[in-house]
Amino acid sequence: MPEHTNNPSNAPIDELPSEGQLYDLIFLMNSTVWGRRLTYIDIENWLSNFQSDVFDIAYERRMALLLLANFVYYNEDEVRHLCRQMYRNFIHESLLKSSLTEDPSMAVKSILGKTQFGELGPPGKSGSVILYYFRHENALQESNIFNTANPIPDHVDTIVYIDDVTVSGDQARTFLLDENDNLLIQDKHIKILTLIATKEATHDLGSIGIQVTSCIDLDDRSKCFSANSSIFHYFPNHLDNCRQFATIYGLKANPADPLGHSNGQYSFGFFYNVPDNTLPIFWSQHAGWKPVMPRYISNAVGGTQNEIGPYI
Amino acid sequence: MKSDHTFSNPFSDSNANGMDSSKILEYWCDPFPLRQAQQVTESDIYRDITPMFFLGGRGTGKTMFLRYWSYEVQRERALSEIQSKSSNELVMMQYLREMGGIGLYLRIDGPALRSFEKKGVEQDQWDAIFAHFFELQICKRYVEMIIDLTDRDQISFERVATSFVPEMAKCLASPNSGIDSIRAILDRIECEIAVISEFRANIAFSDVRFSPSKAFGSQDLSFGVVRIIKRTLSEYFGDMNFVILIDEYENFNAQQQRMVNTLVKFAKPGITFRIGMRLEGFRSFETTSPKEFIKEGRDYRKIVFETHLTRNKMYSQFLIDVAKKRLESVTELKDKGYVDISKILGKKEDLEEEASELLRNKEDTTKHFRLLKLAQLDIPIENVKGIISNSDRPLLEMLNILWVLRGKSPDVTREAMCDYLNGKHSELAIKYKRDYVDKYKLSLMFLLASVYQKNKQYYSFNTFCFLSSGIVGNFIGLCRKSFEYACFYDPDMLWDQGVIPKELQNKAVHDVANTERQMIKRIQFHGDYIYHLAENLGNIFTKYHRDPFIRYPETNQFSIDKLSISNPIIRDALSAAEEWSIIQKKDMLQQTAPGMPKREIYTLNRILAPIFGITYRTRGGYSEMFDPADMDDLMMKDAAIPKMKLERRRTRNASGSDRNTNKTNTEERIFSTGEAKLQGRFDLGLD
Amino acid sequence: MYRVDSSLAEQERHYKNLIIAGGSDHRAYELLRKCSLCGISADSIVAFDFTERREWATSTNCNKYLGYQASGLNYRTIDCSIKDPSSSLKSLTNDGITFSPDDRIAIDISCFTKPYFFILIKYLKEFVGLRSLTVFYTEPKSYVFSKSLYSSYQSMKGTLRVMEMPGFPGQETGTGRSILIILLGFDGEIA
Repeated sequence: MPEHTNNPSNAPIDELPSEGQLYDLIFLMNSTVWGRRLTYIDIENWLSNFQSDVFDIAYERRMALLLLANFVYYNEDEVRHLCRQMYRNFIHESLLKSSLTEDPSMAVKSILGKTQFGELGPPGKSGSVILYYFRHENALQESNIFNTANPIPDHVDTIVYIDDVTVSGDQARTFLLDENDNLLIQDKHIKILTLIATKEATHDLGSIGIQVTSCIDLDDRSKCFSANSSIFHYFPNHLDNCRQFATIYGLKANPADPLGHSNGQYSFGFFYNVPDNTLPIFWSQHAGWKPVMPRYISNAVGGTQNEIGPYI
Repeated sequence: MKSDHTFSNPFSDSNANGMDSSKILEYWCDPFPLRQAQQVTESDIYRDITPMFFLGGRGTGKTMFLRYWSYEVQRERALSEIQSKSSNELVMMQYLREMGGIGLYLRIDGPALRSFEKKGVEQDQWDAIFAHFFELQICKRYVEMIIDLTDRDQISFERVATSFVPEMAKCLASPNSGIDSIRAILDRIECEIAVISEFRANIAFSDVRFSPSKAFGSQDLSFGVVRIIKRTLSEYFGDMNFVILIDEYENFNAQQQRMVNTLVKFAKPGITFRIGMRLEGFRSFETTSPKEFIKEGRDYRKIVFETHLTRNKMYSQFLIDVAKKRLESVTELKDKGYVDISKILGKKEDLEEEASELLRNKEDTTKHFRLLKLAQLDIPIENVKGIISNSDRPLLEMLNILWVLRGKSPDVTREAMCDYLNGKHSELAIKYKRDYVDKYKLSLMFLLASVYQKNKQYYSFNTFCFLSSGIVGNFIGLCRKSFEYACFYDPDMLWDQGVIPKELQNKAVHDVANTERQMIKRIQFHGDYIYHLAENLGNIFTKYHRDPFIRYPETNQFSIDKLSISNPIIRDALSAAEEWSIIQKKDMLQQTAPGMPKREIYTLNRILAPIFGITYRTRGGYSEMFDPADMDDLMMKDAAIPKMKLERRRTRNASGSDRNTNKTNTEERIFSTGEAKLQGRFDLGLD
Repeated sequence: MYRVDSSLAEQERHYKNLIIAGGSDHRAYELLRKCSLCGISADSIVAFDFTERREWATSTNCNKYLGYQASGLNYRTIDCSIKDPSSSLKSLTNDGITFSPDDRIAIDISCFTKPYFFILIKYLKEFVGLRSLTVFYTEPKSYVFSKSLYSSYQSMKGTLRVMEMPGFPGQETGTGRSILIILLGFDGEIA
C-alpha cells in the first residue's frame, strides 16, 4: 500500500467544486437524464469504498464525485435516438456512393434491398440489444435481419454488423475473423455500424477492409486521464492525483485492468450495461466492491454472474 | 441501483400547453373564483355573451382554464359522462347543447405572431395577411369540430354534405372549385394556410408576391362560418353559442390586438370570446374603427386570476384538490393512501420546534442575548438574561429581548411571560400573547436565524401556499422539486411514512426560488432592469427583517405611482415586472402606513422570499414608498437602502452623546456573517 | 462530417467564396489562419459584419474583430444585424454578390448564430441551387464555466429569445405535433 499523503501535488482542494455542488449536479442529471437511477444512499455506499488509501478522505470523495458528475449515461431514449441516427448515417454514406440521378427514395429502397443487419458478437451481448432497438426504430423488415440459420439471399451484397461501442477494434476484428469462415458472408461487403467508436478502431478496421460508421467519435478528450481530458481542463493540477486515485482503487475493483479494458479510462455507460472500457471503480462488483453503475457480466462458463450465480 | 420504491413524480407534467385533452380533464379542478369572487359560473362561460378577459401571470392556470372549455375537452367530458351513466340516451350533441355552447381554442405562437412584420413588406400588407391568416385558423377549428361530430354520428353526414358543404364551398372558393365534401373544405383551408407559410418562408429570401386564391378579411370567416352553421345545421346548433378561446393574447402586437378587439366589440349573436393573457398584456384597447375602443364593463369583463386566487380563503383547498388529482394518478401513492399534500408536507410550520432545532448542538445557545447590547440597561446583561431567559423556548426569549429593547423592564417582561404560560388573563398576558402569537412570532424566527447565521427554513403546506403567490404553477413546481429531492435523498421516509422531511422541502424551495430568480434575467425586454429591481427590493426587505426592534415586521411590499414615472423605459420595465409576476399589484388601493394616503401597493413575488430570508406572507402594515427617482436607482444600480431609518438605539446614554458608531459596530459583529448571506448565496448542504 | 485538423491541406485547395461571420472569439478566424498556413485560397471572403458585435467589441478586441482583414485575401463585407438575418441576405444581391450553382463555396459556421447559418444554407440550396457546399466548424476546446460546472443557461448579453427561424416558418395547420428545438450557444456574442 503506498504511503498516502494528503495531496502530493499540493493542488488546493478548493479548486475543485465542492461536494455540495457536485451532489447538486449529480442530482440534476439523475432526475433528468439518468432516469432517477441513483439515490443519495447509493452514492454514499459507493463512496464508502474509498477509505483514505491514497489521499485524505475529503479529497478522495471530491475526486470520486467529480468523476461521477462527468459520467455520460445514455438512457433508453438516447440509445433509440442514436440508433435512428446510425441508420441515417449509413443511408447517407451509401447514397453518397450511389448515382445522384436516381430518385433518393428509390435509391434508399435499393440499398436496403441489398443489405442485411446483424449483431456484432455472440447472441445475448450488447450488439443484440442495439440490433433490437435499431430494427424497431427504423422499422426494418425481418428480411433485413441477418440470421445465421437462414441462407442469405443472393441479391444481398452487404452485411452490416451492429454494436454499441468499438474502442480498440479488437473484439470486432476477432469476431469478424471468426465469421470469415462463415461461407454465408464470404463474398459480401462487411460494414460495422456502432453508436460509439474511436478513431483508432475505425482506422484499424478500415485497414482490413471493414468500414466503420459511428454516431459518436471518441478521442483522447474522452479519456479521463489523458493530457487533453475534458474533465481536467480546468483542474490540470489534479489530473495526476486523480489518475493515481483511480488506479489504486481500480486495482481493488478490477486487478487485471484497473483503468478499464485496454486502459480505456472512459466514463460512460448505457441504460442496459456499462462497457468494460469504463473505469472499473464505477462498475465493478469484484471482491465486495460496491458499484455505482454496475456492469452485468456474462462469464465464460455461462449464465450471468449477478443473477444466476446464487442459484448455481 | 434504483430504489425498491420508485414511482413517477406526480407533479412532473405541469405545462397545460403540452397536455392532451384527457389529461386536462383528469387534472382539472374547479377553481373557486368562478363560484365566488366574480360570480362567474361554468354556465356563464358558454352562455354569457359578454366577452371575458382572463388575466394572470405565468403559471396561474390560464391555458388549463381555456383548454378546459374547448371542444376537445367537452368531448372528453361528454364521453366520460355517457360512460359513467351507461346510457345511450345521453348523446354527445345533447350534452353539448346542455352546456350551451362549443369552445374553439386558438393559440398562436409568439414567434409566429412576430413574424408578420419587416422583411421588406409594408406593415399594412402584413396586417392584411395576418387578418387572412387569423380568419383561416378560426375557420379551420369550426370545420374540424363539424367533421368530428359527423364522424361520431352526432350530426347527419347527409345534412352536412348537402347543406353545409355547398355554402362553405361558395364562401371559401370560386364557383366550380370542385369542393364537394367536408374534408375537401378542410384541405382547402389548410392549403390556404400553407400558402401563407410559404410566403413567410420565401419573403425572407426574395421579394415574392402574396397570392392566395381568395383573401379573407376580418369577420369574413370568424363570423361568416357561424352564420352558415346556424343556417344549415340549425337543428343541431340553433341556440348554442360559439365561444372563441384565444390564449396568450399578450403576444399579439398592437395592430393584431386592434383587429381582435374589433371582433370582441362587434361580435355577432351566437359568438363570444374568452381571452387569456398576462397582466399588462393589453397592447391596445383600440379597434380598427377610428375612435372606437373596448372598455371594461361595457365591452368585456375582466377576471384576474392571481388576485382572486390569493384573496379567496378556498385557495388552499383548491391546491389540495389540484395536488390530490395528481397524487391519485400515481398508482403507488394512491394505493398507499398518500394523496393529501398537506399531510405529506405537514400542514404548518412548527416555529418553536424549528427554533429549538436551530439551537440544538450549538456551543453557545445564548448568542441572541447579545442583542440586549442595543438596549439602554440599568443592570448588567447577564442579570437581565437570568430574568428573561426560557431555555426551552428560544422564541419566547426573543420576544422577551424585544420587549426589553423596547423599554419594558426585565421583571415586567418575565411576569408577562409567566402569566401567558400559566394561562392567566392579565392585561400583560393578553398583550404578551398578542405580540407572540399574532404579531411577531414569524419575525422573531427570522431574527433568531440571522443571529445564528442560519437561514429560516421554508416548509409545510401552508408555506407553500403562500410562496406560490396565487400562481398554481409555482405550487406545482415546489411540490415537484420536493418529490424529486425526497426520491433522491430519502425515498424510504416518503414510502414508509408518506412525508417529506422539512430539510428537503427547504432545499426544494430554495432550488425553485433560485430558478425563478435566474429566469428574471432571461425576460426578453428589460430583464436586466427587472432583475436589479428584484434584488434591490429583496435586500431592502431583508434589512427590515433584521431590525432587532422589529419596527416594521415582515415588510415586503412597496408603493409607487407608475404614472409619475417619466422615463418610459423604467415605466415599461415596471409593467414588464408586473406582466411576469415578479412584482404583484394588490387589487385595491391601500395606505402605505397608518395615516398615510392610499396608493397602489405591490409585493415582491413571494417565491423569491427564501433567497432574501424574508417572510412569505403579506401582513400589510408598512409599505416602502418609492418615487420615480428611486425607481431609476432600483432598476439600474445596487440601491438596497431602506427608506426608514432603522436606528439602533431608542434612547441616549447618560452623557447625552450619540454613540452611533459604536452601536453600529456592535450590531455588525452580531450580524456581520448574516449580512454576507443577504446576497442569496446559501450552503444548501443537508447538515 | 469529419475532423480535418491535420488534414486540412488535403481538402479543396481553392474556393470561389469563403463565407465567414465577424467575431472576436478566437475561433472566428481560426479557419482563415489554418487556410493561410496550408495554402488554401479563395477568390474572396464574404464577411458578415454584425453591427451589434462590432459595437460590442471593446477597443482591445477591435483588432480581433477585424481579424479577417489580415488574412491576406480579398474580402467583401455585408453590413448586417444579428436580429434580422433576412435583410442581410437580400442585401447580398444588392451588393453585387452572386453565386452560381457550380461555385465552390465554403462557410465557416463557427461564429454564425443559428438563424443565420440556417437561412444562409437554405438560400444557397434552394435559391442559388448550389450543388455542393463545404461547411467548416471550429470546435472550442472547452466552454467557459465556473469550476467547469454548468447547470443553468445565462446569456452574457441578457436574454434567451424564442424566435421563428426566418425562412423556416413550419406549418401552422396544427395537423401534427409541433416540435420545439432549443439551440444553445454558450459563448458570449455567439449566444
